[in-house]
Amino acid sequence: MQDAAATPPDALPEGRLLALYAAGDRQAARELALRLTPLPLRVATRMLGDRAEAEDVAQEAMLRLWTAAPGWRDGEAKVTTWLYRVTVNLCTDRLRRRRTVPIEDGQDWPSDAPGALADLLERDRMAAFQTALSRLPERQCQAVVLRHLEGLANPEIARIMEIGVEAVESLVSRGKRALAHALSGQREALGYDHD
Amino acid sequence: MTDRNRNRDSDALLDAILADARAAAPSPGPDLMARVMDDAFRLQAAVPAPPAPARRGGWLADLADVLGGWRGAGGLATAAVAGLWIGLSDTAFSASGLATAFGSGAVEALEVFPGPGELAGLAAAEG
Repeated sequence: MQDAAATPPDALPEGRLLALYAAGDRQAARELALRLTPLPLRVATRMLGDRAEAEDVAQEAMLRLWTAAPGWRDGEAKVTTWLYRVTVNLCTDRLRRRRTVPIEDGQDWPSDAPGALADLLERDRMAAFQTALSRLPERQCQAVVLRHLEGLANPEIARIMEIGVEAVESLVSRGKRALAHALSGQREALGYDHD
Repeated sequence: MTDRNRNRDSDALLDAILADARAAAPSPGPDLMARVMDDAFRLQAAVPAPPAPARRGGWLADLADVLGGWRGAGGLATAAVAGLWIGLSDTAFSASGLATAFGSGAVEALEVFPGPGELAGLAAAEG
């Protein structure tokens, strides 16, 4: 067992940080926020296609983490798996409420690409990808985001989505095929022939 | 273009787009981080102090503490059992037991307290 007093916060596992947070350690709160807030933001941005709404989901997911901290039993569940599940469920609730996909031109996609033209191209590519992703059936979208954008292994996705590994494989395969079909024919329009 | 070639092109295009999407992953800005930290500190302040660990032994341990610890309670229990045994034992048995112990059959009864007649005699002798 690691000695929390001797170990810097950035080297502690999330479960231990949660226990320290519940005991009143403000440094643990900062470390958890820095380490984990990007996770729900990434997933929610991909699933919802709306940055402002994704930020609300990220804040809500983290709020649930703070609330769960006092009763958290370290070692029973992986904190990130729990947070992925909460995020996916929050996104699903929002998608079911709105039932439409408000992808707008000019979506504010962050980009580190230099130059205005590169920014524009990058934005178009991501907008096209987001549109195709958002048109996938809900579970396929979740599986593709977790597998191909978050880089998770199928068994962890199965735990997050609370289904079997074979079902995950099937969802990912069908989702990827549907995405490829939706994006085929746009190679030139998306600038991939000029790379 | 054959179907196989078309599929390969589609897969390659998708892989390229997925790679770009991973590279363009959004990161939280200062406003979002400030909101998250506000929530964290607000809820942290509201977390109740962890409950004191339950005492081992419960009421029995409390009783032992009152009686001077487990050693004191053990002594008291031994004395209580011995008193109960003496009280419940048959008087004749006790008398014969004493007679046997002191080597005489003359013990008929054991007087612990003097009677009224003896008290009066004692008073007269002193007075």
